[in-house]
Amino acid sequence: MKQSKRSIQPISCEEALSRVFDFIDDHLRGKARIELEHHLETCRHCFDRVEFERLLKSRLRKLNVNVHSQKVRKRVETLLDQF
Amino acid sequence: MLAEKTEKATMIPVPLAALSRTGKLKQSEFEAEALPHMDVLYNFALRTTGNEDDARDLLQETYLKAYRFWDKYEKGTNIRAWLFRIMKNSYINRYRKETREPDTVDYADVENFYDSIRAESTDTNDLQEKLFGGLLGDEVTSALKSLPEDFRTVVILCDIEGLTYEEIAEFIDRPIGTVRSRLHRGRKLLQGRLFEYAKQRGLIPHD
Repeated sequence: MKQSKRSIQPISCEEALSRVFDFIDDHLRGKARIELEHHLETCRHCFDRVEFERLLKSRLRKLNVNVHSQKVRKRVETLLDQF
Repeated sequence: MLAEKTEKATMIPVPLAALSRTGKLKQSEFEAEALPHMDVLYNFALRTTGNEDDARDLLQETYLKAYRFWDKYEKGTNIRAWLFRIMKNSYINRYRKETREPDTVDYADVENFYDSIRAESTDTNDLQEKLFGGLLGDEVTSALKSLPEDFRTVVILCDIEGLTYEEIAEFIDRPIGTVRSRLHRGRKLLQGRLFEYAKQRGLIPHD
């Protein structure tokens, strides 16, 4: 279902900000997403905010590197063998 | 019905060779399905317990329980969510005695965090560079650790581990709306802490 830009209802900054987290987590769908994307095209403040939240999220994602689970993997595999 | 069947089945004497074949099948199935999620679970255990020894113990306990109850796992459902659930229960059983951090956060303050940091800097890009580029991994980690547990959990699961809202809801045993609101608050709290670190480090000006 394609919506032409003319039929998109403008939303307030307050409304836009309430959707930011769903948006960056890729949980915003359909009309709600189209409205927000449209708002972001025209509102610098909200656009910056989204960028900021995205940045924080990707910064956190970087903490998830190089976990040292090899040792415990071996341990569990050994235990399973003994079951 | 199913339980009855299984029970009966276990009562029938099975030749040893056949038994070990079933065991082998179970093990290879388990290894193929459950072991690939070990890193994600270990990472979470590490962040939840705060040290490697406890994290390894918790992970080991989780996998042994999962193996023992493997026939209870419904094939085709979300295995990661199932494993997380087992880990959560193990964690609660193990650490239940410990008191929870009191929730003394003033949310009204937090709500305005983004606006206040904007006010500190004329250039948003510059501020973001300072705030995220300048902070060390250790500082981000300890900011995360300082969050009340309920909020820390959802932020870790969502932002670090990449679980979906649905998986997180299953893990914390609350509706998706709760996941959303905790994420919302958790992220804002985290930003507040990061902002404090950035100030201490002189990355952004003091008041």
